Amino acid sequence: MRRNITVGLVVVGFALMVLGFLAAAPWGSSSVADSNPVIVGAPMLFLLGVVSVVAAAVVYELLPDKHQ
Amino acid sequence: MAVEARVQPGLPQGVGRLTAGWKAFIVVALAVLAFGLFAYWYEASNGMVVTSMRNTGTMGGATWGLYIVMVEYFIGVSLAGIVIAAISRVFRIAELRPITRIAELLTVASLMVGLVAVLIDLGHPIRGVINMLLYARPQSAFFGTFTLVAGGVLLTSLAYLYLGGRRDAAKIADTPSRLQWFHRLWAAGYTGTADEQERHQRVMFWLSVGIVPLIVIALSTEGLVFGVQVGRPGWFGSLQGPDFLVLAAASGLANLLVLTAIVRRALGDWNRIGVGVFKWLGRFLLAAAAAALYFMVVELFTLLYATPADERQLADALLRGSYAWIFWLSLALMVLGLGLLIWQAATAKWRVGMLVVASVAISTAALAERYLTVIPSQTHATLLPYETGSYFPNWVEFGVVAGLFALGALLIGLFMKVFPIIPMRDEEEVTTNA
Amino acid sequence: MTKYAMVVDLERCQGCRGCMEACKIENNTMRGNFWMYVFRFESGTFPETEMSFLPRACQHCDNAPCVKVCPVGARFKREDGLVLTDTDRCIGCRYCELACPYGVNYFNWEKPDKGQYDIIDWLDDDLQAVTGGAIPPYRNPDLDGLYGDEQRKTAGGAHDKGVIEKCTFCVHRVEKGLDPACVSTCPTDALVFGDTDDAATPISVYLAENSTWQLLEGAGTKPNVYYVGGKPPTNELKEIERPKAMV
Repeated sequence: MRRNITVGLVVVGFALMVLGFLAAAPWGSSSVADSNPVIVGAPMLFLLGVVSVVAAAVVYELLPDKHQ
Repeated sequence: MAVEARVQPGLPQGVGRLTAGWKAFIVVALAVLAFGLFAYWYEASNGMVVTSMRNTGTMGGATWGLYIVMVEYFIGVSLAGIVIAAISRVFRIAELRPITRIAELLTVASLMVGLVAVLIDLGHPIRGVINMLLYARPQSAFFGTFTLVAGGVLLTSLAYLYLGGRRDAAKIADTPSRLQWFHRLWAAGYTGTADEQERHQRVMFWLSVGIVPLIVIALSTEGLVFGVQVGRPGWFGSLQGPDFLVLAAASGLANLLVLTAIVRRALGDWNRIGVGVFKWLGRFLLAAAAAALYFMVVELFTLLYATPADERQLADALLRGSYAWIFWLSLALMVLGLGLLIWQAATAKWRVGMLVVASVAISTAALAERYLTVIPSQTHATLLPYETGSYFPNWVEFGVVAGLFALGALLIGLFMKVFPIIPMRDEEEVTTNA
Repeated sequence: MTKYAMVVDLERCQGCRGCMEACKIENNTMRGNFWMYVFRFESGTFPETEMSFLPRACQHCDNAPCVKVCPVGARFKREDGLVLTDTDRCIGCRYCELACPYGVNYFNWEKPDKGQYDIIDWLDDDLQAVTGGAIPPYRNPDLDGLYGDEQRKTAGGAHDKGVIEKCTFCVHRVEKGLDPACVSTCPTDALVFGDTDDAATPISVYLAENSTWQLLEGAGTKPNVYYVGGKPPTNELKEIERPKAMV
C-alpha cells in the first residue's frame, strides 16, 4: 500500500512534469505567432508534478502502518 | 516572558527560552526589515524610478541592478547548505552531523530570500506569479528559476528539513511547552520504531541522492540566464553555468561557516559544534575558493586579450575603468580568503576566528563578482555605439537589500527558538518533564 | 501573406529627428523613452570631420531574441512580421531589454500621468479651468485597442507603470492601412514602410533597386529593417550628444 502510493505519486509526478513541460510551449509549431502554451496553465502542471514527487517522500515516511 | 520561559526547562538548546541577546537581535532585525519594507513601499508606490536602475542604451543605465545581483547571490548561497547536508548523510560523515540542520536551514532561508528578491525586481510582482503559472515558457531561461529553483529545490529542501527533523520533534514533543503543539505536528506520530527508522533512512538517502543533481541543474539555469544572451558582450558563453556553481559553492560554504560560528556562540553551553566541524568546512571552502579563484584568473586572462571593440570596452571598464576597484577588490579578497585557508591547512591549525575572517572575505568577493557579472555588461557593452553608461545603487535599493538580509536572519533566528538547530544525539532524550 | 518591413535610406536622412518627435507624439511615449531613435555621429579629426546619422527603430527581427527570452509570452511575433508586446501580459522582468542587441526596449519606470513632461503643472486648478482638465499630450484611444488575430493589447500607448514597451511599427495605424508615424513624417522620404511579400509595393521596389545592409547582421537576429547607403556603425563612432530627456 505504502509502496504503491509512493511509486504512484512519483510516477504521476514525473508524468505531470513531462506533460507540463511539453504543453508549456508550442513545440514543433512553425507559426511565429504561437507564443502561448499549448495548454494555458501547463506550467502549473509542471509544478504540481514537482509537488507530487516531493510529497511521495513525505507520504512514504508519514503514512501510518496498516496494523496501527 | 523570561519568567514564563523558565518554567519550561525541558526543551534543549534554549528552544523556547527568549534570552536578552536574542531579543536584541530580533529587535534589530525587525527594525532593518521595517526599513526595507518602507523602502519597497516607497518604490512600489512611486515606481522603480526611485531606484538607480534605468534603461540601457539611450538612458545609459543598467536595467538589472542590485536586486538581480542579490538574486544571484542568495540563490547561489543556497547551494552549499543542502549539498553539505546530503554529503554528510550519504557518506556518513559524523563530524558534519551537528551542522546538517544549520546547513538545510541556510539553503531554505537563502532560497526564500532570493525568490523574494526576484519578485521585488519585477515591475508587476503579483502578475509575475500568476502569469508564470499560466504562461511560463520553457524556451526562456527563467523557466528553470521558476520550476527547478522555486519549485524543485525549495520544496525538496523543505521536505528534507522537515523529515530530517522529525525524530528530534518526536523527542521533544512530550515536553510541555507553548511549542508542544508545533513539535507534535512536526513529529506527526513518529515513535522511533525500527521500521520507521529504516524508512526514514531510506527516504533521506534518496532525497540526498536526488537533491544534489537537482540543485546543480537548477542553479546552472541561473548562470544560463546570462549565458544564453547573444546580444550582450561578456555574458554569452557556456561557462556562465559552471562559473555560477563554483562561486555559489564558495559563497554558500563561507556563509555556512559564518552561520555555524554564530550558532556556536549563541548556543554557548548547549552547543555541540567542535573545531572538527570547522576543519571540514574550512577544507571544503578551500577547495571551492580555489576553484572560484581559478575561474576569476581565467576571466582576467581572457579580458587582457579582449580584442573585439565591444569586448574591449567591457574589459577596459573592468580592469582600469569605473568597475576596476570592484574587480581588483574582489580578486584581492578572494586571494586573502584563500591565503588564510591555505595557511591554516598547511599549519594544520584551524582557528574559528580566522576561518570567519576568510569566509567573510570570500563571501564579499563572491558578491562583488556577481555584481561584475550583472552590471558592467549593461553599461559598457552595447553592440550599437551608445555612450557608455553608469549605475550605482541608491538608498532604496540598499534599504530593500538590507531588509532581505534581515528577513533571512529572522527566519533563522526564529527557527532557533522553536526547534533544536543542532540534531540531537541518539542517546539524548528529553526526560526533564517525563 | 503580408510581411512588413522598413527601409531606412541613409543617403536621404538628414538627421532632423522628426521621426523621433512624430513617434513620441503618436505613441505618447514616456519621457526618456525613444521607440524611434536617431544616432548622430561624428567621426574624423577637426577640420576633417564628418557627421552621419542612423535612425534606429525596433528591427522586428524574424529571429527575435526578445521573443525567445520572454518568460511569459508577452513579447511575441505576428505572422505579418511585427514583434509586439502584450502589456497586459508583461510582468516587467526586463529580460527582453537585455536580450535585444539593439537597445530598443524601454521599461516604464514610473506612472506616465505623474507629469510626463512636467514643465507645466497641468493639474493646476487655474490651468484646468482653461484646458477643461485635459492633460497633454493627447492620449490616442487607438493605443488602447486590441489588435491582430490574437486580439491583444499591443499598441502600448496605455503606458502602464512597470512594463516594457517598444516600437510597434505603429500597429494601430498599420491596421488601418496607414504608414507608421515616423514614416509619414519624414520630410525626405528616408523611411519606407510596407509589405515585402507584395512585389508591387514601394518598399519591394526600393529593395529590388538598391543594395541594402542590416544592423548587426552577425548577431543572427534576421532584422526586418533594411538600410540603404551609409555603412554599418562601429563602436569607434561617437555620439555627438546623449538625449537629455531622462527619468
